[in-house]
Amino acid sequence: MDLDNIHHTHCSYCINSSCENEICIIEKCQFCHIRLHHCKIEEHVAEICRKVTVKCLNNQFGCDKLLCRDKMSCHLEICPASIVVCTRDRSRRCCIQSSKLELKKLGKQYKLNEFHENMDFDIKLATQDQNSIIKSYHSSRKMRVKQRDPLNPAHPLIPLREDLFDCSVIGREDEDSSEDEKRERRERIKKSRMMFANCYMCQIDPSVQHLHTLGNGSELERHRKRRITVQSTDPFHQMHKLHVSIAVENIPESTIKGENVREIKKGGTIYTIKCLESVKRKEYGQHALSQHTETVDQVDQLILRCPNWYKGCEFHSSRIKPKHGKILLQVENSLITHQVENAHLPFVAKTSELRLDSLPLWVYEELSDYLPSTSLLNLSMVSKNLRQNMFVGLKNRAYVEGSWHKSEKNGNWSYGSFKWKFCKSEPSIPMESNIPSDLSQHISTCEFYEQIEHTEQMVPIFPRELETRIWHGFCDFLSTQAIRDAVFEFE
Amino acid sequence: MTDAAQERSIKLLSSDNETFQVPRNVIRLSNTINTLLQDLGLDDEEDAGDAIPVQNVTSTILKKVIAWCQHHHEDPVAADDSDSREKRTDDISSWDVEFLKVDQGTLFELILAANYLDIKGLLDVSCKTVANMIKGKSPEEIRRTFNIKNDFTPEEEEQIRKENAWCED
Repeated sequence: MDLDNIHHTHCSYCINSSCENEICIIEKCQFCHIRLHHCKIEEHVAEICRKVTVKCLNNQFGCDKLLCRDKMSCHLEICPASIVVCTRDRSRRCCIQSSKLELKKLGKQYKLNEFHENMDFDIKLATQDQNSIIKSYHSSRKMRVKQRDPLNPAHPLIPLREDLFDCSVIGREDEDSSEDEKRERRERIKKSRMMFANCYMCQIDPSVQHLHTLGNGSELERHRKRRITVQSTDPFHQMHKLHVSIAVENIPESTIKGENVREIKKGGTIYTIKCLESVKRKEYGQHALSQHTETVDQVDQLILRCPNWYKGCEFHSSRIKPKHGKILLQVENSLITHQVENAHLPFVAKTSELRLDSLPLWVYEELSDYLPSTSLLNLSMVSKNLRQNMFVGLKNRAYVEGSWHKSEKNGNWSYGSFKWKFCKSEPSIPMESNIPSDLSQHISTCEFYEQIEHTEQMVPIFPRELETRIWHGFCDFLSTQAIRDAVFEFE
Repeated sequence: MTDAAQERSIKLLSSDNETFQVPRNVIRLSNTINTLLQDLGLDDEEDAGDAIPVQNVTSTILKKVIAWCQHHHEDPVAADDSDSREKRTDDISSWDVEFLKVDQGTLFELILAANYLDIKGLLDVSCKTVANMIKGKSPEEIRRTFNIKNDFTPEEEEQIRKENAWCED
């Protein structure tokens, strides 16, 4: 019998570790020393043996780790190639209808709002969001329309995808996207004036064969009087050059379509800004909490504005605040971070041989125990030397992401190169609740408070049927009196 | 170890040849010196003998290290909390805060010395101080704090920031 045959007839079922079959002898695995038939060894080493050194399962996604198979489960938890993309989003509304046009104009000129120090968290966040909206308007209308989807029918998701093959010229002077919109509107009006435009059945179910309802009500519609309210941006938004509202909207995707349709009919747009950051799977919880749930979603609690804010009052208090330090939005990397109160500011950076960017590697490792990933990200952007030290010394804290490349030959996409990065995550910030008593104090002295004085003399208000009631009462009285008199006389 | 052994003093010699007399139970905090003394059986000797050379540490730094050890040698041994990956940085005692109000060069020297002498408490507290200086700061602020020159070209900087671009077919 040949080897293949004995494998099928004997070895597949043989579990005897001291089997004395002579055709296929028992051997020891060189890694884990288990005794197996010769024909099973190869498969055992390739697939099962726990002591053999193998590549990480995520090897094709950039993890270059070689490890013992029985350590794989521990490694996969912290594997740098195990990443998720954050899909949290937030929405912004225009202040007024004409804000959209303003944003478009700014987009064409690529005029971004500037940040300055001591900006309040909510204003900074709104400015950052407005800037990303302006950036999206900087791209051509053709591209914007192409990227619309049913969930975002008016304006595509921000940030826009980069179109590598987009040839349309951006920001040309003669290209005016509002011109396009005007044309669309003209066409819509023209359509609405057609003979059967207002046919009831066409609107309900155009696929059903039916007789059109004759007549078109659009002319009547035109003559109907409309009250136009002039809208203007409130002083607060004007002061901070904001065209989007400072209130962060959270609209779940399930309702966003319906919401948007109503907004579009009114002429407004909802801008949805998605996070789309890659985060290490293990740190995703921290990312979602620190960058979204505990900061952006609670912004109205962190910054509680004076009720007169829309008139321009800058005063704010808070319902919750960090136990120590403050929450900051870093515009450079668009990340939210917690800064501890720095009591050690009197440090003078003397010219010494030892500097932060030239320490031995183990110091960075020691420091990284106390630093969140956001700080590591910031450190890696300080200088070339430091960047190199960070990625060599702290590779276990970074994650790896492949960048896609399109092959010239057949147009297939594949991972071209792998890039190592630090993710934007921080542990939860310890918070405490705060009673905004300073706000109550402030309201009594707020300079924007306009007291309403009633100068007209007050007039008592009676129910409408008061006269009738008095008359009825009088009649009742008279009749009782009359009856009494009659009875008295009778007696 | 007997009480007498605890009370006797050890001589340390800094890299610039300055000698320091340190009580035995104070220098106990340095694992390096402690093990050295135990392994060589120097604890049993009556006479203090020769000074132990501490090659990598200058006299100014060694003075600070000894001052720290003197203040902390009676502290209870802290429980090892290595399980939490990221440790707290807001639990520095006020004495340490005052102690570590030094210039950055000295602070980094202290980290190196603490590592060389294997003094875990000092290493932790000085690393925490540096971490607090880094936390929550943008790259530009870190450069300002630590006096580091930005050697990225504007293009490189933009490249690093934009690496997260999402590409479409």
